[in-house]
Amino acid sequence: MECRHVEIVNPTGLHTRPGNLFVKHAKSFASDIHIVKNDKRVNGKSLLTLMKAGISLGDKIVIEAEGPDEAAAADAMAHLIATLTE
Amino acid sequence: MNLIDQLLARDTILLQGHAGTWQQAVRLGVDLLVEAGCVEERYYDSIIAMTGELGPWYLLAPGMAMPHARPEEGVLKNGFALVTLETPVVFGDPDNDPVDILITLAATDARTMNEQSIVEVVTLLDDEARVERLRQVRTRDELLTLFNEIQG
Repeated sequence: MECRHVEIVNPTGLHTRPGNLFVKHAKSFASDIHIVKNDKRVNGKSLLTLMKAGISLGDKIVIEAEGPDEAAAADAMAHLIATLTE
Repeated sequence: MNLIDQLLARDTILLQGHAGTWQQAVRLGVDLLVEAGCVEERYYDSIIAMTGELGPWYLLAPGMAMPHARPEEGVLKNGFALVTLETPVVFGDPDNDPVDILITLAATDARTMNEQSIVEVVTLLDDEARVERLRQVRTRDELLTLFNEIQG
């Protein structure tokens, strides 16, 4: 498993529009992708569960990827979060 | 739950509605919010325009949509509208089509939308058995029974 620690830098956090972008991108990888925020661990390929985690500006999260393309997936998802602007 | 209480108090509920297109389905939900005094008519135009621009970003999971636009697009007060469809519609998102449950949201500010309204909707819908029952509900009495069970 590959993990990346990232901080949410965009004002709206991982709410619907950026969240949807994250989920669509996550689905392009074969690996399982999860987001961990404090004691919550949610499926990064489901907008429904991602929304439930309520990830906002300033939150520090961990991206976990596990599978055949886990390193590429973890890097790509961390990069996406770091470059969100909305 | 505030979401259920508001749906019942404002009667922003349509069960087994009829829509031929995703636009008509969105219209059904917005109309309920307009009647309840939660949004202006232009809220519908904003949702349609944003969907054209960004795609249907508010599809939460297979069969489920949460249409909304920004607070400044005509929101007057916080509200929710529940619409279920007799025949599902297609939004053009293969991951989540076809859709037959819509909860349309209106929130007066982005923080309320993100940290309260959306969390309430996903908490209600993040239960497959519950969603399947909601899909089957035909009458207000059946809906009240389901809501009472959810609220325990």
